[in-house]
Amino acid sequence: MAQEILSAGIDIGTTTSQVIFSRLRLENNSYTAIPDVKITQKEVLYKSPVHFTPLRDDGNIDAKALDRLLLAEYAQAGVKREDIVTGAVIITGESSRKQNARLAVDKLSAAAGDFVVAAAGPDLESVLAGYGAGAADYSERVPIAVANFDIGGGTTNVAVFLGGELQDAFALDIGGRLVRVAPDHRVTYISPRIQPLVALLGLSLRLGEVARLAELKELADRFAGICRRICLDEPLSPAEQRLFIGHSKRQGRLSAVMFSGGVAEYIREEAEPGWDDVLRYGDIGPLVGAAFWQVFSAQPEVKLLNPRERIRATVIGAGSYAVRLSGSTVMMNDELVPLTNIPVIRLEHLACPEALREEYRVKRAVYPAGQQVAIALTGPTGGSYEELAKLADGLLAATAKEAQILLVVMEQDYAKALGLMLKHRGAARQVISLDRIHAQPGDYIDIGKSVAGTVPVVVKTLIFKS
Amino acid sequence: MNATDGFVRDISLPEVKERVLIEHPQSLAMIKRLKKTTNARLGVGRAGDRYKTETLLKFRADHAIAQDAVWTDIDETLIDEMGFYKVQTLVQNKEEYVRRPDRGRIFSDETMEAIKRDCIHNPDVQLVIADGLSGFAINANLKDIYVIMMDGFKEKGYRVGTPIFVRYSRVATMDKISEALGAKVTIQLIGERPGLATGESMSVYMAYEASSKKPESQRTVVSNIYRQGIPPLEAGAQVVYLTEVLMREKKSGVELKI
Amino acid sequence: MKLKTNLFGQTYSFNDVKEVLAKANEEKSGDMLAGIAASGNVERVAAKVVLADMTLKDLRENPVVSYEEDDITRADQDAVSDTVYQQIKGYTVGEFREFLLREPPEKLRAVRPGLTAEMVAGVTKLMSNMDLVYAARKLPVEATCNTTIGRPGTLSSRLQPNHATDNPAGIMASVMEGISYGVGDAVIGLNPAVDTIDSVASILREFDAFMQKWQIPTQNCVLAHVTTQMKVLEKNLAPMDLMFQSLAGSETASRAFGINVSLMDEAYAIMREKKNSAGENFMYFETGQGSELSSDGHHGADQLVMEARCYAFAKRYHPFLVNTVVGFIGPEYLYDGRQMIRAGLEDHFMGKLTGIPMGCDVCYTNHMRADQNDLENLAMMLAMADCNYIMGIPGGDDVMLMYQTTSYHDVASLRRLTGKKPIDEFARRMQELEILDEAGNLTAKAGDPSLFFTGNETLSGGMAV
Repeated sequence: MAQEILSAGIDIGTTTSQVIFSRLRLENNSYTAIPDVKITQKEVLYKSPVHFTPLRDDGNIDAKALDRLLLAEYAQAGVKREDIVTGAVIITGESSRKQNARLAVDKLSAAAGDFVVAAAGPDLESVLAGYGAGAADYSERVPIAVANFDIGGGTTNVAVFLGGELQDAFALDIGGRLVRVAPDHRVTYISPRIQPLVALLGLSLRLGEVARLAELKELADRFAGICRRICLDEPLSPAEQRLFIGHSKRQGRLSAVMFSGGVAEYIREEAEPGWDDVLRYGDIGPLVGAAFWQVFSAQPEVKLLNPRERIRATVIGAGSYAVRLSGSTVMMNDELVPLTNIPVIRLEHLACPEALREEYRVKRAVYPAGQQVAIALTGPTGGSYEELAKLADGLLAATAKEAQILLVVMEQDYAKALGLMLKHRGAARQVISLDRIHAQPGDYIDIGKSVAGTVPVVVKTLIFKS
Repeated sequence: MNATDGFVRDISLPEVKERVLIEHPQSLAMIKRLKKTTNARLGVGRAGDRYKTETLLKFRADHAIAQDAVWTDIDETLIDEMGFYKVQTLVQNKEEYVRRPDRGRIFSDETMEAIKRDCIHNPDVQLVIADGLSGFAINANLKDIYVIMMDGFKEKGYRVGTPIFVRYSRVATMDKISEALGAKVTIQLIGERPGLATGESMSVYMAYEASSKKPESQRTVVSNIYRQGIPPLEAGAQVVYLTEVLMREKKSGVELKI
Repeated sequence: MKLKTNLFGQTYSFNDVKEVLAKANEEKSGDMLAGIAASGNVERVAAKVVLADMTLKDLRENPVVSYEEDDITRADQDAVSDTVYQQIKGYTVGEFREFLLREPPEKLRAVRPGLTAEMVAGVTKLMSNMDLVYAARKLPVEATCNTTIGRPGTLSSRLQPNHATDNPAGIMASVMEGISYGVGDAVIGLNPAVDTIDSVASILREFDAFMQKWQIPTQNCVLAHVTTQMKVLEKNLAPMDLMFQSLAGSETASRAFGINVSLMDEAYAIMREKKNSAGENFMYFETGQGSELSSDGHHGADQLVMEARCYAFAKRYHPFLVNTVVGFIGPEYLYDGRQMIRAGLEDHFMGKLTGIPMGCDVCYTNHMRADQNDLENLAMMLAMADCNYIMGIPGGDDVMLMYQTTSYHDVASLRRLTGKKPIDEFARRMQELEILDEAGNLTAKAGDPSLFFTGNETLSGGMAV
């Protein structure tokens, strides 16, 4: 039994925005009365052109213009918003720090379809780009870790995969549009985030002054050199170290990398770019791309791999890889979803109802009283009826005073049993209980309507934040 | 591994199968990765062209437990504790059970009469517990799956019949019992044919108005029930859900779209 | 035709040929379950004595299922060469046994076109285990797909990388380890857990890609139902070297498998047109004693003669591979190791006498009274009988079908014990990959699946810039 669903991916970036639609094929290959549903195929049906992100004069995203752009793309692709079952919107690069980003996304989701929506975080962006570029799939076939560097206008987002599993994700203030120039070669923008590096290099680069190509190249070379040293776990100067956004890389050399993102379109064996290329975009993107090619193709320590996607890696990751399916035996109520941006509380003291209650009280206090939260756990300690009943009683007691949905996600395959017990013992509580889902404290999750007996879930992992 | 003082290492533990025994592999990391993708016995290395001693003994242990699961008569202590009604098919012993599947599907006239005399008639839900090819499976899973099913049935307000334990039973005994008692939904828990290292896997067969006149496709099946497969509690919760569906749709098996 | 005899002062008489055949069979729990077995050892021998005195003509004229009611009987009878039949029809079954033991291979080969399944089964019932090995060795059968199987001095193997859920990475993990033991020259063939067109096609493509990348000269196959494979071919979804189907020995029993002669004719025609392989032999069949009884299609005949009829069915399609899955069906048909060993030797001999390239899945289930030692005994005997191929599976444990069969280790061991090699092209490629030495034995490097993940190769494969 197979079913196909449409998924949308929308990437609103610092410079550019894109939309893709993909078809996910869900197959139930179980011959018994317990379904076993898996995503067996992901096919990108439509890729929009790369649009410039509409910005208002104040530099914020122009939500209305974005809405129009999006609707035009839906029409072009021949897709109706009600056909979209799942997907993700992601705000990438520097935009994610813009104040109205969240607002724009909320408006977007209403226009784009009633689907699962992901707000941005630099690590999530890294992960989606890594999936979209093909690093995760490729890492399944080789004995070493494979990293993807998604180099955009504002940031470089890195995800590391080993055997198909995410190992690390981090982001850097390295990008193609951190320095912009006008046709008269005058510098129109320098990102404040790279000022320390500019100072360290002793460059004469100043806002409003004419830039020298050699200096721009030196900066680009340094970007590439920093990334190479990061791969090899070689030391960085303090100014370089400050390019990490939020947290740095985990220990461990990276010996195979691929590059995606807009700048990666220039990471190829081609003639050296000059002013013409720079002025075509009004930024240093082509120089950065060329520098990465020169640095990485000239050394044997870090192997250079071809990505499956370059500029579209993130949007394809968002459209095809963000969603996960729950297990097939769950307790679900489709009338209560979609639920988006639900903060996760992870509980550990599952065997003792009193301890569970106290643990929940402490962890719950971080969020406002009216806030819907999701409780994540491994599963019952042991698999007996008594142990599960203890867990159910503990959860009911801990959340007794709350009016929100009792929403539990767990790793082990006990969601339906736990759900049944929660309903049985919890009188009128509304319960959603899902399994085969791994969520960490600090994560946010989105839950969509059930499809083919399973529930699409997006876990927005922030685990790499230090 | 549990190299406790005074004990030789326990090779029945699942993690023994995870070990890579190849000497000087090109890439130990890759073999470990390969092993994660399958539970096939990979990366075992060799002694000449033959197995290493650990591989051989592990295999023999896994086969031994499977054989014992088949050939050991079920320990009925738990069945007695739970107070189930007990009957036996025409089969007299394990040997006959294995050789004569036909006799494991039917009861003597006296047994049929006794069932009719002693058990609740016209239940919504009739439970049949069958040893099948592994009594170990019943003893490992029965308690948990039973309690959660009963919770569910009670909540739904179903009339539950007398649970019947059948010794030397094949799946088809559920049809005979259903016919004798006029049950709506009959649910049989039965020990599966053991795989290597797993003597504890159980299946559940369910049918609406189960009848020996209907084909085998009348049955809705949940299989692979054991702690490391589909946990008995989760399977029980699914059976409660399926019972609701069968009661509502008044059909089962292939006729039912789940 | 005489249907009775005296033994030790007791008269034993039989109603018809079918009863003689059934009672002459070596002890099998399946015949007992069917209620047709000899009641005791002496009756069994009496039936053998009566059978030995029957002619091949008697057997041809008394098929266990009538010509009118059964398409396999028709297929078998219609295929008989009258010229050859006229030369041999006067042999008693006893004489025919001696002919097979006495005469050289060329003479044995010449009589095949005159045989029917009942003759093949009949003579088998008179042969001891060593007879079966001895005669089978004189009946080599070669067949050619991409490579040629059954040449003297070879012992081939099917690489059986079964997986509980058909996870492609998990399947390929078993393929890599299997190849690293020099296993897989007969076929890389998966029993799918999921019998869908998409899944079957994608696994066929995986196998083909691996064979291409590593230049492994063999065949690919996914052992789904024939109708699924036909759809894969019709839609041109994947390269397919061998087409598979399980066969039964009567029209009724075939119905339980969802096939009949005309469907198989159609499947054969599509495969001939669309196949990916080179040679004239591109079908793969599996059989096994007892399946007719289990689907109530045995017509009161014993499981040996029903098995021989499967081979008559199979030969119609000039297969590349046929094997009995000897101990898979369960103890109600083959009770213990002794019956399993006997059945394996019988089936292999019958297949070879029929003229099909016979292999054997030497196996047992956990509810049989059999163990690893029984399996190894039969595997060694079959290697001596020049069986074309056996299975190779990691550690002998099939994690999908839940039974035990011969392992990668067993294949390598049997080759070393008998001095046999894989199919020539395959053996040469294994030498290039430094898995086998010139004698066809495992090298020190063999048995390591990570051979396929080394050095620079790791990052090539089209991905490196």
